[in-house]
Parts: sequence; C-alpha cells; structure tokens
Amino acid sequence: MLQTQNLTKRYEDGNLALDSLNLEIKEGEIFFLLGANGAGKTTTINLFLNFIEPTSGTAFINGIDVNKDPLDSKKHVSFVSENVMLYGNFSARQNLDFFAKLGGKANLTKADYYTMLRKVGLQDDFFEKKLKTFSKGMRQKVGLAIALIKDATNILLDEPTSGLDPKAAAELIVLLKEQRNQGKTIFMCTHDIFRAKELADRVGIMKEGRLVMVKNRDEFLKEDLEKVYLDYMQEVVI
Amino acid sequence: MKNFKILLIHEFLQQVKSFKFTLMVALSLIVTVFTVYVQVTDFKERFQNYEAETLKASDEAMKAGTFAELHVPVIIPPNPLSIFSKGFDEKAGNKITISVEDLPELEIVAQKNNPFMAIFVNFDITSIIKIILSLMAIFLIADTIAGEREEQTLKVIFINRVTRLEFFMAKYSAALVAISIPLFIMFLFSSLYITLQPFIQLSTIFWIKLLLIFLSSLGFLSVFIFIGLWISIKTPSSAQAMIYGLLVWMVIVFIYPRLVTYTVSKVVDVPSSEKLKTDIDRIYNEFGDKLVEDHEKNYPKGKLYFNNTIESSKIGFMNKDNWWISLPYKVGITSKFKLEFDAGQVKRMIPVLLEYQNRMMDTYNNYRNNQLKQKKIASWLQVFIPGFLLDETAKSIAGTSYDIRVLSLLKKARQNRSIYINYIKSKNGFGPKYFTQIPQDIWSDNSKDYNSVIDKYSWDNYPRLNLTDIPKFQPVEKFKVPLELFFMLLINLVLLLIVNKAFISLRVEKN
Repeated sequence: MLQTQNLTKRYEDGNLALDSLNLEIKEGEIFFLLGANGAGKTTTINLFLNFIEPTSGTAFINGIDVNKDPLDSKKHVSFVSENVMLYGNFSARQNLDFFAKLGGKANLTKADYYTMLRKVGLQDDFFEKKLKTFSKGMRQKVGLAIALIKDATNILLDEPTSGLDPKAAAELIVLLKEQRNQGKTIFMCTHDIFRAKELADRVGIMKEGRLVMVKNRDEFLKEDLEKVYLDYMQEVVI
Repeated sequence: MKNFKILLIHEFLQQVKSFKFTLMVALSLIVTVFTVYVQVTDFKERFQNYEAETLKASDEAMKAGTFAELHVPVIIPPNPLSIFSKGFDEKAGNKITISVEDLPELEIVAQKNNPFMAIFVNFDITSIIKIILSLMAIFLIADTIAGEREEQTLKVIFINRVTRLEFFMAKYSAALVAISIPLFIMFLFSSLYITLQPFIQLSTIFWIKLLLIFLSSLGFLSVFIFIGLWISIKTPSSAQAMIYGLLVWMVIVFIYPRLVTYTVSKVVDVPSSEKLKTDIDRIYNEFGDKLVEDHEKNYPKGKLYFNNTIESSKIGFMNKDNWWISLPYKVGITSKFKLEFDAGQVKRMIPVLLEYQNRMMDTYNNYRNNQLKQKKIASWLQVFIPGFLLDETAKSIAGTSYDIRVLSLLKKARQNRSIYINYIKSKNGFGPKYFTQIPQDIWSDNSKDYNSVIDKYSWDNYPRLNLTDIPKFQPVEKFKVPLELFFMLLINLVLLLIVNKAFISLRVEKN
C-alpha cells in the first residue's frame, strides 16, 4: 500500500514541485498519475523512494514512513525507471543477477533469470548478450525484469512505456495486470492516457505540483479521459 | 554491510571489464617492460663498474703500508631497489675515499657507456606509478558515480536496501583492488626480471622493502581513488567528471610540485657552489700558510744545501684540483736531518691538517644543510601532494633518499675516517715511531749524498706499517619508517571522512 499525507516538496531554487499531496493506493490497485512534464510526477516517485527529502508531509510504503525508515521501506518497493541504461558491459542475465541479489533474492538460478527475461518478452538469444548491444526497448524490458524479480508488494513505474514498441507495451500491460491480480500495488506516472484507460483502476491528474483530479475506473470510463485531461491542462490552478 | 560483497564484486567486474582499464593496464605494462629493461641494463653497467672498482680498491688497500698511502676506497654497490626508486643511488656518486689527506666526499667513478640509455634511467617504477597509475586511478573512478547517475542505475541500486556507506566502501574497495592488478603485475614482472639476472643478489630485506614500497604505492593510488570519487559525486555528468579529474591530476602531479620547487628556489636563498669552492680554497690556503710557517720556523737553518731539489714526501694533501701542495725543499742537509725534519713535521702538522680538514668538512656540511633547508621548505609545501609523499617514502624505504644515500653515508664515512686516524695513531703511524722503523744506520748516516740515501731508502723500500687489521668500513643499513608515510595515511584518512560525508548526501537523481 502507498500513502502520502500532505506531502510537499519545495526545491532549493524555490520551485514548489509538490504541494500537499494526499493519496492512498491500496493493495491490488493500479493508479495512473497523469500530468505534463514538470507537473511533479517524478518528484512524487522520488519522495516515495527517499531519493529526495520532503519539505513537509510524509510518504508511507506499507505503513512505513520512508523518511524515518528508508531501508525498511525499500524492502517493499520496486521501481521501473524511464530510459534506464543499466550496465552495458554485463549481459541481461548478469544485470538481473546483480539487482536480484541486491533485492535480497540470493538463491535464484540461471533458469529463474531466464524465466523472468522470457516473461518480460526478451528473446532467448539476448539473455547472455551485453546490454550495450541492446535497443532502448530491450533495456527497458530488462529494467522491468529487475523490478519484477524483486517480488515487492509495491511497484512504481516512471514512464515505463517510453521507448517500447506497441507489442512490448501491450506485453507490459499484461504483466502489470498479472501483478495486480497477485495483490501488488502499482503506481505509474505517465503521459499515456490510452494505457491508463486500458489498465488503471484510478487515475489522478497532476498539475503544477497539485493533484487536481482523481477519478476511479467507472468514472473516467464514462467520460472522455483525454478531454478531461486536456481540460485540466488548460485550466489555471488557483 | 549486507550488500557490500555483492556491490564489491559487481563494481570490480565493472572496472576490469571496461575498455579504459584494459587500455591503461596495457599501457602501464608496456612502459614497465621498457623501464625495467633500461633500469636493469643501467644497473648491470653500474654493477660492472662497481666490481671493477672494488677489485682496484682491494689492490690499493693491499699496497697501503703507511699513513699517507692509506686510501681506503669505499665503493658503494648499486642498490637493486633503485630500479623501483632511483633517488640518489646513482647521481650522488658511488665512491668515497677514506684517507688522511682526502676529505670523505662522494664521487662518480664511471660515466654512462650508452648516452641514449642515460636519458631514460631516471624513469623508475615509482615514476610509472606516479604518472600512469595515478591517471588510471582517477579515470577509472571519476565517471563512475556521475555516469551511473546519468544512466539512472544509481536509482535502481538505491531502490534496494543499500546504505550509502556500503556503496561507498564497495566503490572504493573495488577501485583499489582493480588498480592493484596492474600495480601487482608491474612489481611481479620487475622482481621476476631482476631475480633472473645473475649479477643481482637479493636478500630477504629486499623483498620486505619491496612489499613496503608496494603498499606505499597502494596508499598513494588510494588518494587518487578518493579524489576521483569526490569529483564523481560532485559533478553532474561523466564527461565533466573526466575533465575535472584530468585537471586535478595535472595540478597534483605536474603543476603544483613544479611550481613549489621553482618558487622555493627563487625565494629561499642558498649559497652557490662557487661560494663553497671559494670557502674551501680559503681553508686550503690557510693550511698551506701554516705549512710554510712550520717550515720557516722549524727547518734547521744554517745547514749545507744540496743543489738538487727534493720533492716533498707524502706529507701534504691534495688540494681541490688534485695538485699536491709541495713543501719547499731546496735544502742541503744530511739524510738524518731530512728524516728528522720530516718526522717532526708530520708529528706537528698532522693534527693541524686534521683540524683544517674538519673545518672543510663543516663547510661542506653547512652547504648541504642550506640545500636541505630549501628542500625542507619545499617538502612542507608539498606535504599533502601524494606524488611527493610516494617519492620520499619509496626513496626512504629503498635507501636511495638524500638523507640515507648522501648525508648518512658521508656522516658514516667521516666517523670511519676518525676510526682510521685513531687506528693509525694507535700504531704511532704519524709520529717518529714510524720513522724510527727505518734502520738505525740511516740515522747515523751523515753522508751528504742525499740522493743515494733516498734511492736506498726510497719510499717503496721503507718498512711498512702493518695495517692488515685495519677496521673495515661498514656502511650501516639505516631504515626508519619515513614520516611521509604517516602523512600519506593521514591524507587517506582525511579523504575517507570527506568522501564518506559526500556519499551520505549523495544525490541519486540527475539534474
């Protein structure tokens, strides 16, 4: 479960990146956070992951205050970044092995890694090839495999479909559905309204650091989400 | 520190798999092979000179039978550790002659056979470490964190239960282990090549000292790893980190040390070698005056003069240009008078000679102390410069530092000279007793045919002093842990704290 209470972040240059965010995402729920560049989506993820400190407020992962107990909170979360490069001189399997061990999965075999790489749609021929020969989409798949192999209860994704071809993006959707069905909490920041419509249980729209709208699946399916999004983008935030 | 081992292995593999690591290992090995070859060839040449000089010296020592003939040449063997740290092993000279008439000063007895080789002989293993491996250490590490931040892998790492401390320790340790690979290969290759040379004898002490130089080198490279890590944390991109790394390396390795040396040489005044020469000349001349004075005062006046000129006996001493200061012996005396005068003069003037020589040695020492003063100021200004610290540490361990190879050796030579003089005194070698060893008949020979007396009892035919039990010169193996090593450890400790602090506030997110 992911939760924030009045979570606020003002950077040193005075920019208010996040303004009193109150949010709760339950187990088995997929939450899509939509917003333009600079709206505060990545800041929210960074605060959940304790990469930056909040100016005020609190972020919780499974009830653990991430700022007070960051190491403990990290047991319960995995992350897929946009355009993660990983280690070019290592193979897909070696990258997976390294991050799996860091994530506490010490006893996995080569076969386990291969299974996971197959699951994210990487071709068998590339399992032992160095990542520096991979396309952006293939790297993204390895990044996804790294996030999934940790088997954390919460998955945070920052623009995960960026760089993926339509087939790979569709495979990702299937995988995320599978994870939701296993009871995982999924929080995805994206511009991809179409994926949101396809997958999200709830959608939030963020503008200039504020969460300006949250709608559940029934609500946003009734409306034209794209239009709602564009309307919010044009509105002046008071 | 649960994840330390995982991170360490990963970081290490990441380093050794990189192209820059392969390139720099190859470069350092090529330079090492060349350097060791030149150094060993140079060592061989110096060793052959040493052997030839030693043989000559033992012949000279065997011939000695009088105080004046006693010239004990001390030939310093070339030091195998000079291949690693050249220091003053060659340029200080390798011969000291201990005698009554000569001052114990170091002299160079052989020139290079191959002037081309002479260009490269000052580039030793320490130089490779100072220049190539330090650059390698900075380049290996400078872009590591900046690069991982840029590529977002830092985020993927810190999404796990990884503490900043274990990440920092893994980065540092992996880089240290990686850099120790070319360092170890360099030392291994060099020592194997040296071991295979039949003319180099290696003792246990050699290996212990070699290990200490190896560890000091690691300490030196560790400083560059810390600096590289700090740059990597503070710069936003790997390209910038590499440029800053290169700039810092240039300042630390080349610009600052040269700037300090130049400034100190301009600011701190050291008397010139011409001034030293003048001072020594003055003392020589003063002694010459004393000799003449003694001659004027004590020469038996009113005796008959021969027409021939008899050259001075062995009394006197070599002046700076190796010319004998001869006594004015346009005399006409009996052999008895001549010998009595000689004996008396020796007895009177040897203590005066020794006194003047002491003044000359003090003048040399003052000159060196002034040079040392300049060196010490330069040293304090470079006390935080790792290259300087490595150089001084390696030289001290190898025994090629100015302190050990020049000052201590000369001090020891001076002490030994005193021992020899006392030894000769104990044999009554300076006084009448030496001359009383001449058969009595010559003392009663009042013949005026001095030439025939001289021929009969020429110097070579004089009875010899038995100098076979003369004490041997023992240059003491001086070894103390160099102060610079402590500074090196201190710098490492300070950098450890600074870089660790920087890691605690390490920014994971790229700009």
